[in-house]
Amino acid sequence: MSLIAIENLCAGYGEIGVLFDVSMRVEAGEIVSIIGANGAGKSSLLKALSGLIPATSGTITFNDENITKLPADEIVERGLIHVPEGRRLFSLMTVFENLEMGAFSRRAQKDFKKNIQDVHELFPRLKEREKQLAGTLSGGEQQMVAIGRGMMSSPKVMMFDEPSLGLAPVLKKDIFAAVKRIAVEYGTTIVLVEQDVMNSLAISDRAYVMEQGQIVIEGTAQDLLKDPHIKEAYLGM
Amino acid sequence: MKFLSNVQTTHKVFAALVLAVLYALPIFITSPVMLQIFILIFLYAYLTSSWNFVGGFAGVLPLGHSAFVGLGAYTSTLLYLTYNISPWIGMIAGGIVAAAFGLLIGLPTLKLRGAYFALATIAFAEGLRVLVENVEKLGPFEVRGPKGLLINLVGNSFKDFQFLSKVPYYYIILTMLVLVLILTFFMMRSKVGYYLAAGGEEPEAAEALGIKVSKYKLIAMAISCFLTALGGTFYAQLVLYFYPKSIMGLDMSYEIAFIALIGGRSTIMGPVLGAFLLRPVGELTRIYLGDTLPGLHLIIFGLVLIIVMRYQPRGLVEPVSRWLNILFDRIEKRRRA
Repeated sequence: MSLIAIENLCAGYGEIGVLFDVSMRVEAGEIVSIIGANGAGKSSLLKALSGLIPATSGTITFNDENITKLPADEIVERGLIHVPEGRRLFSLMTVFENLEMGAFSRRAQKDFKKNIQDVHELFPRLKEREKQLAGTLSGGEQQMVAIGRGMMSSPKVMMFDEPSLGLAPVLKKDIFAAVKRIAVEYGTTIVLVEQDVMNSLAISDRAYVMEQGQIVIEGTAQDLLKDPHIKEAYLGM
Repeated sequence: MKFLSNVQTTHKVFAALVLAVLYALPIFITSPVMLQIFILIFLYAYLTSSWNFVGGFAGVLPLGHSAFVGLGAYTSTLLYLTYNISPWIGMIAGGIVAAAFGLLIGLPTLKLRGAYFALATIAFAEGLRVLVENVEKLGPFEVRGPKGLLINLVGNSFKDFQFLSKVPYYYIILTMLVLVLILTFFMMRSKVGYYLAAGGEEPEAAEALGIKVSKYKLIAMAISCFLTALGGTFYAQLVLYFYPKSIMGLDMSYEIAFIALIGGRSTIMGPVLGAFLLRPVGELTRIYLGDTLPGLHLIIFGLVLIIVMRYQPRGLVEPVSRWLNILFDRIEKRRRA
């Protein structure tokens, strides 16, 4: 049984449907990319998974448990964390306080010391800037805080929504490397939503391509890099 | 007192000095009119600080808090008039009633954002006022509709929360204000305070982290309504006569919000600063222009608000504390030299 199994999921905002009959699975320890253009439904898929928008039909199973109807905090408690698009830091809190906010669940409180060590090991910069207000950090540093804040919840699965958005190419490389390290060093399963197709496929095991709220292609990252449709539509080759 | 260790000594000395001056003030000011102005400044600073728990920290804009002032005043006064229960006990009862109402309206409305929440609170406050205006009798209680309630004068009596001099009122409301500011200080540094701030700024991110934003907003709402109602009882005992429009009208709700926004919401001293700046304007226009231009103070507040929002969107507490810090630094340097 897969760690995450999504069956025929439909979801949207009020009357407006965004996701149509989405089915996908994620195995433990994998890095899975979801790629697609603006408005394809990638972010909405993550929001549905983390309980921020309700599913209208279909099921989401996590660790053999149906979590389709669970509220957001219960889903976090079970180890599924969503690192939202655009970083969404608490700008008037310090870096350390932002990290603390990630450790809301009971499980996370217990692992607090170990998690903060892991975050500081992955991003030494965050230790240096511990007392600085998050709103005054550079874009790359803010993304590090957003990722670190997610790690503080002791996640089994981390879902990243466009972590490289708005960053310089050098910083993008750092962020993708950090995502890969989280998977390799802590065995965390990763779901990565990205528009930077090349970089995200490079670190992924498998990927799904979304168009207009549906999954149109799925395969291993290697195969997708060779796919003529992907090459033309997303890689500009 | 570990929490005070990160506050500079000069700040502590300054705060102690201000407090000492305020507590000693009635020795020097004996005019009841002046004392009344100070009492109202403190009362509005208190009400705004109570408002701040939800309006400041929870990141929504309630515009109907006079409803809770009214609930406090009506509960304690009705209990006093009907069963001769001391207003001090009635005060707590009023707080509980207001907190219950706060939860009741918070449950469906706190999910609303921006203007929608503000509109919902206005609707609630106005609805409640009209309701009270149309109720003559509620069970054993004589509500007396638009005629309002009159508390019989019994002279100096602590048990009856009545004093002939303004001085006791001055000390009661000043102490209530100090206590609510201390509570704000601890709230801001508590977990609940952080969760509220997180939910106020980035509700979706906070929820994605598993923070139960709506639960903490409800807690803030209940605390805020409870404290606001205590101010309502105080106000009732101060004026001894009130009617729905005078104690639960929208102009009071607006004034609270004006004071918060101009002073600086979600800060500790913003409501106090705002009340000190705005309340005298309200009192003076009422004294001198009350007959010809009633409500002029709200127009002035509106203008001030526009100017402040244009140049100091976080409220006047920001530049003021910056100046004070510069001043303190100079004093500190001179002391060391």
